[in-house]
Amino acid sequence: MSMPSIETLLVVVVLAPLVGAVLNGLFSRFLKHSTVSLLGVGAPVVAFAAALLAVIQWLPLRASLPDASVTVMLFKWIEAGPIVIDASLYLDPLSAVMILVVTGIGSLIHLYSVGYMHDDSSYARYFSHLNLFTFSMLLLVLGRSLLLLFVGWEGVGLCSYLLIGFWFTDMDKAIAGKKAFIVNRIGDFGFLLALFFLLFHLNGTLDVPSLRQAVADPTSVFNTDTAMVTLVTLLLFVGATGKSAQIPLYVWLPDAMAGPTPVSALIHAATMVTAGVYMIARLNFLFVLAPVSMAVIASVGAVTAIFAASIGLVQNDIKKVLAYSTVSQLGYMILGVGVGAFGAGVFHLMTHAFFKACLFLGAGSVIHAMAGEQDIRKMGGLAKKMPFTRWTFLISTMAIAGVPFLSGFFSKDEILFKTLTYHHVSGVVPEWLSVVWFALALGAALMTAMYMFRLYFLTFSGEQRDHHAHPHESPATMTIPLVVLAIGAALAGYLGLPDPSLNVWEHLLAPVFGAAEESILATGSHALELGLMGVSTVVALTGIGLAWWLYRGAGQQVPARIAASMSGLHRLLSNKYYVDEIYDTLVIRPLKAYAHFLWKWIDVGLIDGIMVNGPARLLSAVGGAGRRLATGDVQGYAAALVVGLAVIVFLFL
Amino acid sequence: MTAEFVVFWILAVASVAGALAVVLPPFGRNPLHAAIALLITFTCLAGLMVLLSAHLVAVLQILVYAGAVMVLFTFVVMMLNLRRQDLAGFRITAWKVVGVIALVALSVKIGILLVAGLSGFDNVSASAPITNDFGGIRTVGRSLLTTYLVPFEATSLLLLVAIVGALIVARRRDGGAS
Amino acid sequence: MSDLLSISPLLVTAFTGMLVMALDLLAGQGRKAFLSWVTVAGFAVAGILAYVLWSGDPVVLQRPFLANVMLLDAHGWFFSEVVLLAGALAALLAADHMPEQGIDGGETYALLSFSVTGAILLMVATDLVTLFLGLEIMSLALYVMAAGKRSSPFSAEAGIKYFLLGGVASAFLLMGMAFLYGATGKLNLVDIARFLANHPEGADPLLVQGAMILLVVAMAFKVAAVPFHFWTPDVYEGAPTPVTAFMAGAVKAAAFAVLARLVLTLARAPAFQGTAFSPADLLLGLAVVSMVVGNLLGIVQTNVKRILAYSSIAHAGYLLLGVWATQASVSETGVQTLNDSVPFYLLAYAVSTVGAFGVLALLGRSGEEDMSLSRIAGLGRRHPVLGVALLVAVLSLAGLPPLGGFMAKFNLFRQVLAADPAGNLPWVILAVVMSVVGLYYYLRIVLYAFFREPEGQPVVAISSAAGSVALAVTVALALFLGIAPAKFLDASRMASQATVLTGSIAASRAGAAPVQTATPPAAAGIQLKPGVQIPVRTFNSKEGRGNLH
Repeated sequence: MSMPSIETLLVVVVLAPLVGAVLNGLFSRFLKHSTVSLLGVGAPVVAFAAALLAVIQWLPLRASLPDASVTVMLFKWIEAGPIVIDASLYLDPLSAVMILVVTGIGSLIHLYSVGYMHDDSSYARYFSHLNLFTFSMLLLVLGRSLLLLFVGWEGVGLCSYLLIGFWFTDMDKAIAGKKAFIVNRIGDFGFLLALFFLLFHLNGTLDVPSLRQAVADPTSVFNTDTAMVTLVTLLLFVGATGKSAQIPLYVWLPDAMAGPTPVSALIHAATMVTAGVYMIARLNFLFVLAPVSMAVIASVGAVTAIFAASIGLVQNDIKKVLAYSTVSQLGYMILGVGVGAFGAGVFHLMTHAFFKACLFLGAGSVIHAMAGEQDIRKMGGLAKKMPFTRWTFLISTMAIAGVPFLSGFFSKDEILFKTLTYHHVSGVVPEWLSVVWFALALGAALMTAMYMFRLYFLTFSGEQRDHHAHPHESPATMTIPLVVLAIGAALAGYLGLPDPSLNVWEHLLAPVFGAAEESILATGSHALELGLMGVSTVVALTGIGLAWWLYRGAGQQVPARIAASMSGLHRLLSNKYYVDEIYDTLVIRPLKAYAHFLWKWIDVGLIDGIMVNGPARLLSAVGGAGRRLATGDVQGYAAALVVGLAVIVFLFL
Repeated sequence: MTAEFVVFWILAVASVAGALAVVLPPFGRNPLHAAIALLITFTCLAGLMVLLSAHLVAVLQILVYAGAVMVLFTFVVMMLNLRRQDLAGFRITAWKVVGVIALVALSVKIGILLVAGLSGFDNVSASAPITNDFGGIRTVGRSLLTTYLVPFEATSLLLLVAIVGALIVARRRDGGAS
Repeated sequence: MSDLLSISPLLVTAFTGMLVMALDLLAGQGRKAFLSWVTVAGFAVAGILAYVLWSGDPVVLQRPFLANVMLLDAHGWFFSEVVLLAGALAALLAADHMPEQGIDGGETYALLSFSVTGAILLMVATDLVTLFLGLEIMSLALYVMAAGKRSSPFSAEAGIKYFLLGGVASAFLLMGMAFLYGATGKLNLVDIARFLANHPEGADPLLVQGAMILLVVAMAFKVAAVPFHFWTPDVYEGAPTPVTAFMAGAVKAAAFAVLARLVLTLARAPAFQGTAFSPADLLLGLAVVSMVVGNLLGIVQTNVKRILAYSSIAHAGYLLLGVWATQASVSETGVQTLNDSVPFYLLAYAVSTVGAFGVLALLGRSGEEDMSLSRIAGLGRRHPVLGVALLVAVLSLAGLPPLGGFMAKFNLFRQVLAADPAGNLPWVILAVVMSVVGLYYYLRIVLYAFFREPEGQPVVAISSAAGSVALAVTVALALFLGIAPAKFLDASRMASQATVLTGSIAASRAGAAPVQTATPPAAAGIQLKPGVQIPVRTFNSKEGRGNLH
């Protein structure tokens, strides 16, 4: 049997989850529980297999392909005058990596969900939404046109909303879903504006490869109208701050933990939240033309990284810690792409997908075992009772903390290196700013190591502090994904070793980022990079050591003392810098008051009262008079026909 | 003024008058009288056909319409034995008044237009001298089965629909009664 | 390609009707639903054949008796597909609706097939007699179908009203054709158009103008344009709902196809130049009053079927505006072609209106005929699937994105504006304003279906697999036409460019394939005396379509 073509396989990749979503969504009433599982898990697995086959075929061919890419034209979507938009899929190194991550990790999380959601009454709805999410995410990643990407972008937002509010009978969870949706909409608005500017003020195409070609032409509008490019890239970045949870729009992500834990793992750690990073990487050629935007992006990323990490230090809910950790790590990725290290940013995206998904699933396993308890202060001593969960969690924790030779170490290190050397290549960024970013990132790394090991120690080591629950290891459907992900978390980093000859990753992604990265090639030496590795190793180990001392060793009284002596700071951190409250006062309340005014005075009074009901009453009166003409009398109707003819004859002849 | 002209006007006026008598009182109130008025119209139409040298059509008009169709009408009317009170009363409604006015106005207008402007049919360059057997069975038959084969066949479909329709509408009476 | 194959879509639909009649005899009482599938299969075959055979260049017919009376081109193809689609959907909707309402015979499907056959014949005809017969076959079958519900006096009344008034309209049409024949001595539309163009002195302008008025009035009756619309609400309400769906979807498409072809082909005649009468003004007048009256009267209706009837009238108005605003042809200078988006609009309208009536067809047990707004209250909650189908259909009729109705309206108005940006602007504004007025009654349906609690006994849905399939198709198509309309718009463009018949097309094609020039008179089967011509022969001789190969 010959292998299906890459084109066919790509269509399968996208459609399989959609089919799963439709079948489980519409026909769940007629399906058995096991069939729902089979469909729900089968869809992403089929997609993964197809993606794998497609990539395997594509790998040897790619040198001979233009931009190492394959395009599948599905249908002509929009044709309005000069604007022609196709619905087509686009496989290139970047999307190849992304579809493998999305379908691969997605499959594992779907499998895990079989165990985790087993007893839920809305089992089929869960899988339907999760499949729909996978479909949207794949559309986002594979869309050749930015508009198709935007469809996926909105689709994942919708699914995120549906899944955060999955248990919508709980009001808080429904509200968390709404919050996520609304905050995301703000970002989407920026994105959409950027698309409009691209379409109507720049060269009028949303097709990514065409944009890239246009940018390459030095006389094109992109190279002459820097102000517009800066505006567009900043608006795009507004979109990214929404989806990738950066300051100031990160507030929805911690609340998003209201959804089922596998959802947090898939959507709010591994895939959807990286969409912003992906989008910036996808449009790298555009962003490098706007150094000011790049500086803004890097600054926001660096600040977000340390800001979220500092909040993570004092959180007690296991999922909240991971949520802030995700925000912080996303900050890292944003910092990476902001300093032009697109490959490194996406590299961190991939390694993060492994270890963070593993951590979330581990957390889910713990919560499952603790009968729904999420407060780490009530846990402890789970190491013996849950060996699989414990070891996989430990590996991932080490990976995220940056322990040498695990995946997080390599990817984080590369970002740090590029950050420190960025001022050499950017005309805008002074050296001190580079250094500040570097310092912030390093501080974030220290805190990451601390709060992650705090989490680990409080959860797994010591004695169980609360004896209500009877923890036990989770079923195989849950532990198998953990093990696979932990292996990934440990080894994925070896794709991007810090030696040019060994760095498979950069070699692979060169067709996408090569030109952009070359234009801002870092001039730092190899020695500096190795030196920085030493520094970050020290930082990571320091963080781990501190965590050991404070939560396992002699210093166990210290946290309480610090909290007491610096109660202001502690309160500030515990309350997450009061950001939600500030937003509430500054944005939400005035908006509500304004909306109330619009509703009561403009809508009900002016529009409904005068402008709508007025004409409607008038029209009703006219219509009522006209209705009396339709008497139902057939002779009358025939007479009316003649009258009509007579009128026409008299008017025209 | 030729004899043909005189005959045409007699037939034309009679056929219109007959048609009006079908629907207007006093004949129109009695189904049998209405049927007879219709017979006058049919006969006059046949006469008009003769004037147009359409002999076959004229004969068919008499045979089929004045003969078969009329007999059928009369049969039905007599079998149903409708009385005056079975028919809906004649009501004068606003629409009817307006309709009659419009009809009259339309007729006057068309009359004026005809008198003032119509250059007549005689200068139509397309109308050519006709053959000796024009309007005969042979010519009509040939043209029906060659040039006009499609309309001819379409007519058969139309008749089929009419038969099916008539059966359905007739059957509803049974269904309604039971 | 043999002629028999070329006209096979027509034959297949006619044969389907006869097959259904035969099978009707074999099938037992109460087991007639399968006839609906037979009909759909027949229509599907016809649709595929039409697509394969007619969608490209005009088909070359060998036999003069075919070439003289019909033209199988993209115009006929597109509109045939619309009619076949609406017919198939109506057949599916009828499968369970009809038995529930006590109409258990198979004759509905036979009549439906004949009606579709008539409609296709009507749309491909270039000969006035054939055209008239097509119209009558289509209409006669409809009159009977409208009266098909035995137990209901409303249905009988609808049938008889439609029949009587349709008879008046047919009389107008026939009179108009007689005028044309009187003026030109020809029955073929192309010949007539060419005669009028080449012999401006030969045809009496008054006759031609009178003919135009009568043709427009007759077709305005069929498309339910004001002031010839009075029958519409009564007939739509009284007829069995699947029949109404067919009436609204298919008959409107067929009638508009013919209206556009007749009027636009003849409108170029010199008889209309330099006189007070212009066919364009007549169309515009009808369009304006239809939009205004249809939408205003829609507001005060309380019955869903009547609302949709007035919606149909309003849509006739928008479409007339589209037919009115012709555009300069790409192929020939000076020739105006039908507005690109009119065929697409008819497709989208057919899909939406069949969807809306389709939902109503699946509501109501035996004898329940009342479709007041209050009866559908709470539909969205009790029958969510039907509710959603109704929502999609109604919003598409209202012209809201992302549905087909929006794309249709948007393109239509855009094209009208493009034809003459400054001159047409007031009318487009009026059309848009009237669309907004129309929104009121469309949203009222939505309001009742989704936000009102039923008072008293709520209407019950009948379970119908075939009907569900039909609704699924309408919903899918309504969405598809709105989201990915490119292919359909292309097809619509092709159809609209073929709509206006031009003499030069026939001439150029005869030149390209010079076969059987000057058909010998004997071939027409008429013995001629030397030097003598009979009127009918002008039909397929020098100027005739007999040269068309």
